[in-house]
Amino acid sequence: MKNFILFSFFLGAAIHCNAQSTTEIAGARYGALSNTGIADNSVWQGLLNPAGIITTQERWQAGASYVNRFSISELSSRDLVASLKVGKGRFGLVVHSFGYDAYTQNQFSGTYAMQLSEKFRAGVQLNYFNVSIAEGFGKYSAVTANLGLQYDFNDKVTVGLVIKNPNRSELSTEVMQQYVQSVISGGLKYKLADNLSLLADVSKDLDLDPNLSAALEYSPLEEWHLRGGVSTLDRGLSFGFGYSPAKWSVDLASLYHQVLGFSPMISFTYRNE
Amino acid sequence: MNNGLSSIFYRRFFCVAMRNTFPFTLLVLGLMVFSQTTHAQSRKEREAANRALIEERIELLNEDLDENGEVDLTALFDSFNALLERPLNLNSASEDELRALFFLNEIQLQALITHREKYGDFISIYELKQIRFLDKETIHLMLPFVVVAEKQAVPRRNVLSVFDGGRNELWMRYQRQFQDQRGFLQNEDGETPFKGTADRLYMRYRYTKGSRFSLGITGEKDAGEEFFTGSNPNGFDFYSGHVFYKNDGFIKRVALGDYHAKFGQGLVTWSGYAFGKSADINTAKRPTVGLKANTSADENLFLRGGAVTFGPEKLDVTVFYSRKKIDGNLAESTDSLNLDIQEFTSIQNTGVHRTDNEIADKDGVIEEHIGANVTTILRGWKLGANVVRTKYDLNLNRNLGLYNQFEFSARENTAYSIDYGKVWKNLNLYGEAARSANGGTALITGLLASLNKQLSLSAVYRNYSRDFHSVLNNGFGETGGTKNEKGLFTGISYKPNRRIKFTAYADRFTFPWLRFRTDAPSNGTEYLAQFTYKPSRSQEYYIRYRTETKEQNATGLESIIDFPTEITKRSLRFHAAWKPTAAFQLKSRLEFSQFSEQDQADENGFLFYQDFIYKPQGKPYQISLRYAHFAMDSYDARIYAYENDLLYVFSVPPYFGRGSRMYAMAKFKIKRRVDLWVRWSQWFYNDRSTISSGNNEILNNRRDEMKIQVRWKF
Repeated sequence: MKNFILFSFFLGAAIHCNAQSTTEIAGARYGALSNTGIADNSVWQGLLNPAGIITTQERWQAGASYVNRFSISELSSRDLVASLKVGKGRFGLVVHSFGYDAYTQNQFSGTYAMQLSEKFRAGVQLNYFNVSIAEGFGKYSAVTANLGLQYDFNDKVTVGLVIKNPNRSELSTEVMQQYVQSVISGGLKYKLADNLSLLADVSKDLDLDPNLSAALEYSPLEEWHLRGGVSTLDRGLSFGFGYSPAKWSVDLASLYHQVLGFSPMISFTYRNE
Repeated sequence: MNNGLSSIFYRRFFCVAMRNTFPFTLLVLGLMVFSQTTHAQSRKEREAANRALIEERIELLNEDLDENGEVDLTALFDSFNALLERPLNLNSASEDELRALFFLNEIQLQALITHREKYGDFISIYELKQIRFLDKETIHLMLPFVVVAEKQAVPRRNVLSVFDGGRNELWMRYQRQFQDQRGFLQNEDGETPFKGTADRLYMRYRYTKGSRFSLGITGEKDAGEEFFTGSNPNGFDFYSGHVFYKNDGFIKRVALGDYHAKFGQGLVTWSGYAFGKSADINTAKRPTVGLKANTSADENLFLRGGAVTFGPEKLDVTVFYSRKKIDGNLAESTDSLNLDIQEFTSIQNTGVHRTDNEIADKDGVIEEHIGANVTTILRGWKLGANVVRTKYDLNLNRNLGLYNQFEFSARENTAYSIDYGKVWKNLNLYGEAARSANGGTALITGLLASLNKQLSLSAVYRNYSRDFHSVLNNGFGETGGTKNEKGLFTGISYKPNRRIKFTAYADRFTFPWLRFRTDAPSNGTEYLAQFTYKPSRSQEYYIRYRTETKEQNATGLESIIDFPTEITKRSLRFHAAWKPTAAFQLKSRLEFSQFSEQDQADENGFLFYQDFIYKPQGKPYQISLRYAHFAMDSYDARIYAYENDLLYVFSVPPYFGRGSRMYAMAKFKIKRRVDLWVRWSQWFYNDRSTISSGNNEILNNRRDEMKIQVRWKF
């Protein structure tokens, strides 16, 4: 019961918070990995792969993150994520907010994921988007659905698949038309060693060229992690580190763009076991 | 086959069919209600398992069917089905029957026969493992279709017994696109170019008794064609019917109505579809087929008339006659001395008759073929001789340009050939040499070598002269038409163990004369390499790289003179298929393509698809879904991908432009003998506001299509 109250508290806080961005960065850990890792599992997967929110140990988890794109405060985004184990499955929540007074985007997502067999997981997600633009450009909203799968070939190799918004929901009014991203992505996680993982994703947004990204996560000490990644579409580089003692972790990272510069970010995650 | 018999056939079978299809069908159905009284549960389960098995086998073959558009593999499905119901007894199976299994190459086949001759009848199916060159994978593939049993006495040869306890099947299919093409809308003149409705209809009835006897009729109406009105007062735009009988005696095969004749390596007698270059190096060789019933709705690739194969043991004599109306573009003779003489300038083989022009071209020309084949076995050599004479009722005048000046453009043609095949130890030599009446020649010869159970090699040399003329051809090569091509294909297949398979081929070809859009003699090369990893029965992964370089007229130049320049197509494919649970199957594919032309920017393509197939065990339904995103800079950078379609329809459409593709298909078993398929598909493009052009143009950036099919077995 105590856990449920805590979870509800986080949930309430999440809904209360005003947060979001166009290409969602799933917290500073995945941010350091160039947002790569749909074959990975954590509470932050609520922003990457609905099936990825399944984690074995924790009863519930929650996290908060702040991303400052290109060091411009107007382009910052704020996220809250949470997940709760219920029977064989797990519920997840995401609140994501991006923008400033004149332009605000919000996203609220609810996820349900479950273990379909020992090695196979699937998750479905419903998202509610809204965009408000000042000076009479109005408010837009849309509901989209996402699907995610993950499969463990063995202890070392996991693959993931995500399909976002296959029905191409739009944020449209008579004034303007704006698509919500439709994306298909596939990913691979390969544990090269106990303290070294390789992640690689390929994704295709309907409106963009394909993107390939790859990242490494290395843990020189049990609680310390070093991360780096690259992605092809935006020619991005990323790096960061994390510290994770028993029940919580803090991650710091930055993306680097050749022209636009650095995008620093930070996130905290709490795990209740 | 004499003329009289075939015309009697026409009067009695076709005219009735054409005049009034449905009553005819009902009559046939009424006459042929036979009871099959086994209702055991085990049988039901077995049937379901068998169907899944055939689908799996066909998909396996289909995976290799790249770049062929929509292929009707009905015949293949039918023969697998017949084999499942009556598996082949390895002790009594003839060479031809073993060949029809499709899984054995010639060397494996001869090894099996030699084994049987040397050690006597098989005692157990496990003996297959002892046979040289027969690898475990091949055994696994053929196992459901064969049994080991004692030789049965040859059953009585009462011809009428083919009507006892056979199988009836009735198929109906409906399909329609949601967005109307421009041809269905009124144009500026207030006319609607397409005369018929946008519905596409298909009907097929077939009665079979094992592989011995088959009788069937197929009708099809394409979208835009009239139905019981206008140009089609008899209903469907296309009808096909056949009666086919196979026997072990002196008369071996009899075909009436629509049929296929496929002999040798397809240089002069090959009326239907054939595999081309593929990741399976064995498909470079044309398998011996002989006469076969035509059950497909392809409106061009078949023969219509009668044919018979007869002869004593080890000597097959086939004679065939075909007379059918084909679509041709009629014109007045351009020769000033013969002003009132009609000619035709081209043969139309689209099979669609929607507009006034298409209807005017329909059945404009009569095409006649008369041909023969003699095949015998002499000291282990399989030798054949073929001759085909083709005649049109009008003169074919293609108005030849420089590039196609050696093409067939006359009223009559004769082509003849000899074909040969020999298996010697682990080598199989085969080939065909042909000549047409005008002096053109064609030669193909191939060698298949199974060095051991792991390693096979294949080499095929072909040399088709620029003036070789044959109408019923489908010879192996880079281009269709069996003409103006020289080349050497070499392939390797290596299976070090059950998990790993490596195949590769290299093909070098020369076109001694100009070709369409290539204004000089030219040459090219093609390479393919594929590595397949199959860690278990439920998982398969492969990586395939293919590159092809050819010459083609330079584009985008302001030059008056066209000249060829090199173009290269490359593609890299990653494919994964696995079953995370017993009922669930996933297939993922990533493919990158590139089209390069000298002095031009490269054009790239990308395809990512995900298939979900759900077949719950013991449930009367199954579902398959696809979701794909693609982005190609141009049509030249297109990527082909196999799609699950209604049973018997197989499509390999090109993906080009930018957008998404999805389909959902469900199959329900409504009753024990009634199956229903429903399929919805959608193309969505975000780089254009209209799709296609001319009458086919859709004034929308999406194209949805619905298909419904019912099969009733009784």
